[in-house]
Amino acid sequence: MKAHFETFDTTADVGITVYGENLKDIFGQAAIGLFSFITNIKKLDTKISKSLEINADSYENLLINWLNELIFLFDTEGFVGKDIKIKELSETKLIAMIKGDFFNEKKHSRGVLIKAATYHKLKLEKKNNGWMATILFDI
Amino acid sequence: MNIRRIDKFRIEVPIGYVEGMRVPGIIYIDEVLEKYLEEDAIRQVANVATLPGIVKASYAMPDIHTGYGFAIGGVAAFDLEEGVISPGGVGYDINCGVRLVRSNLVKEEVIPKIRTLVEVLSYEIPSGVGSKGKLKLSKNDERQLMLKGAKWAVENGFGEEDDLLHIESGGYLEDADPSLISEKAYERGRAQQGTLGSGNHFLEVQYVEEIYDRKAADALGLFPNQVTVMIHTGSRGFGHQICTDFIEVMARAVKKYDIYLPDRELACAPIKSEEARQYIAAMKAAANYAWANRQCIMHWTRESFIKVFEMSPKDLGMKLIYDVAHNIAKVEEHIIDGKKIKVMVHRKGATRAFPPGHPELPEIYKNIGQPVLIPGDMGRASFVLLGTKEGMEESFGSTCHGAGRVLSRHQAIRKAKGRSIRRELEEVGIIVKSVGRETLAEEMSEAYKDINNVVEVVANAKISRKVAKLRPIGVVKG
Repeated sequence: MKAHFETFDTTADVGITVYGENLKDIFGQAAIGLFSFITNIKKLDTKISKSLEINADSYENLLINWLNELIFLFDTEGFVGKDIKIKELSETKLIAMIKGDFFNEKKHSRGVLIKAATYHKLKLEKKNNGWMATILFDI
Repeated sequence: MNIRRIDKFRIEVPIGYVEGMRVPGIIYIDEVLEKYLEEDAIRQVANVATLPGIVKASYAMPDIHTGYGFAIGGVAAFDLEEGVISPGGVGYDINCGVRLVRSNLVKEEVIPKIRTLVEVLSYEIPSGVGSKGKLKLSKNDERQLMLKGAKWAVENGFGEEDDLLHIESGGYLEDADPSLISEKAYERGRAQQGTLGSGNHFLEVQYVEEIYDRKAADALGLFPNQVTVMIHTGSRGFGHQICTDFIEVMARAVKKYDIYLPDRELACAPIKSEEARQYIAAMKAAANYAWANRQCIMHWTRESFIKVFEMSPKDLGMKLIYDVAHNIAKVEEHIIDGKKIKVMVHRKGATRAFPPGHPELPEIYKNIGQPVLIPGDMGRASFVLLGTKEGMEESFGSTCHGAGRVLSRHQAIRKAKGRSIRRELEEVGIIVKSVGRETLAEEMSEAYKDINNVVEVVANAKISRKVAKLRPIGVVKG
């Protein structure tokens, strides 16, 4: 299965369902899914690189912390990612390299303002042929 | 166990609807709005009723919809000895709220210049995804702002001393503690003070379309056709980060204090615990940040009016009527089982509505009760209500906070396809400006419940009463 994500929305908020062969796919696609709410990422350059390390005590918490870290990066620096490399992933640690660009209102469309990734109806499951996750965002 | 209609404006979620409920749930809703009532939202009202120390009932207002942990529109009070506090009962946007400013202008004077006014307002007040504020705050500025809220803004030239008398809690909560705020929250807060945000946040130029109570309107300084400005925003990324930080803290507290939770987003801690003390002090900092934010935005609104109408501040008469929080937790005194006790009242998408005579009201509103500001969608109307004695006795002095969505964003965008929402609004005399890609479609009237229905329920249930209806003529959206 090719790793991919689908977006959906509830009455008041938005979410993503992510599919992948392995957990690295899930974490990578979840990030792309998140960024795609903020702007049209096709229009982004990849001239800025960021390296991140995230820690937590479970894969679920790691996923939420990872997405919240990306929201923080956008909120403080305006950084939006396009290419994500998950270099290392365990239950307690994620190391990633992200390429993207700083948001520029003249160049990039303004999408949805994401406040946080939440635990509401959070799913991270192993399926027959891979993994699946569902994450809801507060907007 | 099924829900049960108590009367025309209330339904009960009985004990047993979910396992472990300590008190029943009460949802203020009539048959018109009941068709929008989601099962998930009912379940959330019931889930809150399982939390330790909850008193009387788990309430929800007619604008209820599914949230995280607590439903949006939820009100719950907890005993200070045995109860808990939950960031999920406050929300990510701590002290999201509304303020209303009146003017000496009437709509006939404003309509000829409304396009210019909306342009100037949207230029002066940063809004939308990725926007940055005009204020450059040092870390010390941020600290002061967390401690003093709207008072900080006034001391720094944004508004007048008199404004502070017209804000819930005087525009700041005491005992905020900047030392408990994460570096991340400091960073997110630095560039976002004085910004409107996006989504359902807005700045609206409106006029008084209808008055329901002449005497109360007089006391608020409202008269027919008068132009008002409503500002709806909160604590921006600063509050979001504090909520995010403390959901983690609370998740650990739940294990430590062995609290049973039907939903992880209800993560909480005993009010007397160290975790709760820290959350409360951080939440207060975010509440103060939000009051400063609305104060700064109001200041630039006044400046924009001065510029566009070339009138003096005195002639414009832009006085703050009131400012209310609709995402907050506060210690308040309420009568429960005939005894006056202090409780921690959570309001998440619900507005405090104190009755006439309440000691927390400013002198000028002592006789009429607390002004309550209820924004509707950008095409319909907003309302000014007042708190009542009945509301104080029944729902911890709380009422609704807005319309509440009925369509998801995609549904709204689909519905708006091939239409120009901007033009449709212009045709009914509402000029809108938005920087977002799809904001106008997402925020169109049809995406929301009719605010008139929501307000009818709280007025008929007597948990607040109607004073005036305001109609938009100019809207700035993120």
